[in-house]
Amino acid sequence: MGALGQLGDHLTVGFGAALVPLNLLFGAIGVTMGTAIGVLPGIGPALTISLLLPLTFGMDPVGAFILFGGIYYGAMYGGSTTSILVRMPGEASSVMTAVDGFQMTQKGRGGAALATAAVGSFIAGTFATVMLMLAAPVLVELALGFGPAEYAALMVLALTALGGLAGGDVAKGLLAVLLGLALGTVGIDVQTGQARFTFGVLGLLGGLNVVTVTVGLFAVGEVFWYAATRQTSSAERAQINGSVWLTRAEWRRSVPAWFRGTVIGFFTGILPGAGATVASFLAYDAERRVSPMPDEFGRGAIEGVAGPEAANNASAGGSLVPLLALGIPGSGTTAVMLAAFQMYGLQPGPLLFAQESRLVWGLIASLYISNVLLLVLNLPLIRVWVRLLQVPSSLLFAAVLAFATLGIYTLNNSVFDVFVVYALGVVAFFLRKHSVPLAPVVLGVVLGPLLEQQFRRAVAISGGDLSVFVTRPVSAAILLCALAAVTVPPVVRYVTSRPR
Amino acid sequence: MRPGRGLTVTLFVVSVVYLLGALRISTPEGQYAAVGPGAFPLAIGLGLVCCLLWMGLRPDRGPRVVVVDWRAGVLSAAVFLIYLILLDVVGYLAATVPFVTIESRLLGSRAWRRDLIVSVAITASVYALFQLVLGFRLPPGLFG
Repeated sequence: MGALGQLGDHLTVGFGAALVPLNLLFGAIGVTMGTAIGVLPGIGPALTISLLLPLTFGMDPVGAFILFGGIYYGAMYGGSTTSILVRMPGEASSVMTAVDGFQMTQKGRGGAALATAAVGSFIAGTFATVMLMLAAPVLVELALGFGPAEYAALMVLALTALGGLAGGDVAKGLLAVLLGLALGTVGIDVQTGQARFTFGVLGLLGGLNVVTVTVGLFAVGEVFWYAATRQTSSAERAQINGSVWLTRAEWRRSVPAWFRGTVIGFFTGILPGAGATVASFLAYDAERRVSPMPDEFGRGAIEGVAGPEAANNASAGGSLVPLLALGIPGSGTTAVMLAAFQMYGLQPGPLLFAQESRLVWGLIASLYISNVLLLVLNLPLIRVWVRLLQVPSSLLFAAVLAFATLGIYTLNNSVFDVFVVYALGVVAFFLRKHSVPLAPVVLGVVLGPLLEQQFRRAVAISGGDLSVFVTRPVSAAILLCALAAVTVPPVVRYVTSRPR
Repeated sequence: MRPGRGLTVTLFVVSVVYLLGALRISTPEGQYAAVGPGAFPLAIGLGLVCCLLWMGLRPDRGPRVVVVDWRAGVLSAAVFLIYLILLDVVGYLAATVPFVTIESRLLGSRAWRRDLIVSVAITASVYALFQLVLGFRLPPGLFG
C-alpha cells in the first residue's frame, strides 16, 4: 500500500510537471518531429536529438527531456508509415514492418496496416511506460548497493552486448566498440591531468564532445553515404484504397499480436544493446511461430505488422529503464540522451530519482501524453506524411549539413570542431561501406570515459587488487553475462548453420 | 590485396600508432594512481590490434556489395572542405547559401532555381533561429 501511495505521489508530481502548457507544447512538438523524422529515411532519433542538443542548452531540462522523449516515441511510430505505404523503412526498426505491411498495401489494405500499427504502437507505448514506472524504482533499489566495480561491469556488459548483437558480425561490432573507446580517450585524463592523444592540438584537450561524434558519424556520414551511393531514394508512390479502419477479423488477429509484441519489445529494450531493431525481428519471428497460417507471412499477414510495430515502441520504453535507473544507455538514442543529461550537469542513476523527481516523473508522465498525442495526430495525418516523402533527398541532406555545421559551431564557437565532425563523417562512410555498425562507436565514446573512471575508482578502493571485479558476486555475474553476449551469438550461428 | 581489406589494413596501422602512443603515456610526477592514465588506452589499443588481426586473418565473409560513385563522394567532400574554410573567411550567411545550393546539386537535384530559393530560406531561418532568437554568435565574416 505504501508503495502504491508513493507511486501516486510520483505520478502527481510527474503529471504536474508534464501538463504545464509549455511542456505540453514541447511534447507535441517532439512527437510531431519524431514522426516526421521517422518517416524520412536516414534521419533517426539519435541524430535529431544530437542536432537539437545545442539548441536546448538554455532550456529547462524538464522541457528538453519531454521533447526528446516525444521524438523517441514518435520516431518509433513514424518509421512504420513509409514501410507500409512505399516499402521504404524510415528506421532500421521498421524493416520487418515493410515485409507484410507493403504486401497489405498492394492488396488495398494499407489503411488497415497503418491502423494496426498506430493502435499497436499506442498500446505498446502505454504498457511499456507502465512497466518502466514499475521496473525503474525496483532497479534503483538494487542499484543503491552498487559500487564502482558493479558499474564498471555494467558498462562492459552494455558495450559488449551492443557490439555482439548490433551488426550480426561480432568482430565488426567489437571493432566499432573499441574505436569508440579509443576516441573517448582523447583529451585530458581527469584523474591525473595527463593529456592523451591530443598531438599538441589545443582543441582536443577537452576531449571529443559526444555531440560532435554523433553528428559526425550519423549526420555528416549519412550525407556522404547518400552522395556516393544514392541509396535510400527511389520510392514507389503509394495509394490508399478501401477502408482505413480494421475489420472485425483484423481486430481479432491484431490484439494478441500487440500484446506479444509489447512484452517482447519491452524486455528486449531493457537489455543493453538489443534495441528496437532486434525487438522487431524477435516479434516478427514469434508471430510467425504462433500463427496457425505461417505461410501467410510475407504475403500480407496483419500480425506481421502488429507484432513488430508494438515491439519497437515498447522497446523505446524498455531502453529508458537502464538509462534512468542506472545511467547506462543501451542504444544510440539513449546514449545521446545520456549526453544531454551530462550537458545539464545531471547524472542519471539512483540519485536522479531522489534529487530530480520532477524531471524523472515528468518525463515518464509525458510519455503517456506523447502516446495519446501520437494516436490523435497520426490517424488523420497519414496523407501528410506520405507527401513529406516527396521532398527531394538532395535538399533534405543539404539542409541537414547546414544545420549540423551550425549546431556544432555554436557548441564552442570553433571551426575546428566542424573539421572534426567532417573528418568523422568520412570515417563513418568507410566504416559503413564495410558494414561496421556505427551505434556501438557512439556508445563507446559516451561510456568509455565513465567506464575508465569507475574501473580506476574500483581498483583504487581495493588497493590495486584487480580481483574485485570477480570476487564481488554482482559484478562477477554481470561480467559473465558480458562474456556470454560476445560468445553466444557466434556459437549459436555455428550450431544452426552446421549441416545435419 | 583482396577487396574490402583496405579498411582493415588502414585501421590496423592506426591502431598500432595508437598503441605506441598509449605506451608513452606516463603518470605525471608527484601523482599517485593505482591504475595510471596509460593503462586504459593500452588495453583498448591491444584490443583493437587483436580484433583487426582476427578480421584480417579469418576467411573473407565477402563484404556487402555497394556501388560507390567515388567521383560524387569526393566532390561532395571537397565542396564541404571549401565551405569550412570559407566559413571563417566570409561568414555564415555568405558561405552557406552557395554551399547548400551546390551540395544539393551534387546530391542529385537538377533544379537550380528551386535549390537557390530553398537554400536562402534554410540559411535565413537557421540564422534567424540561432543568432537572433537564441543569441548564439555565428561566424560573422563580411556581413557581420
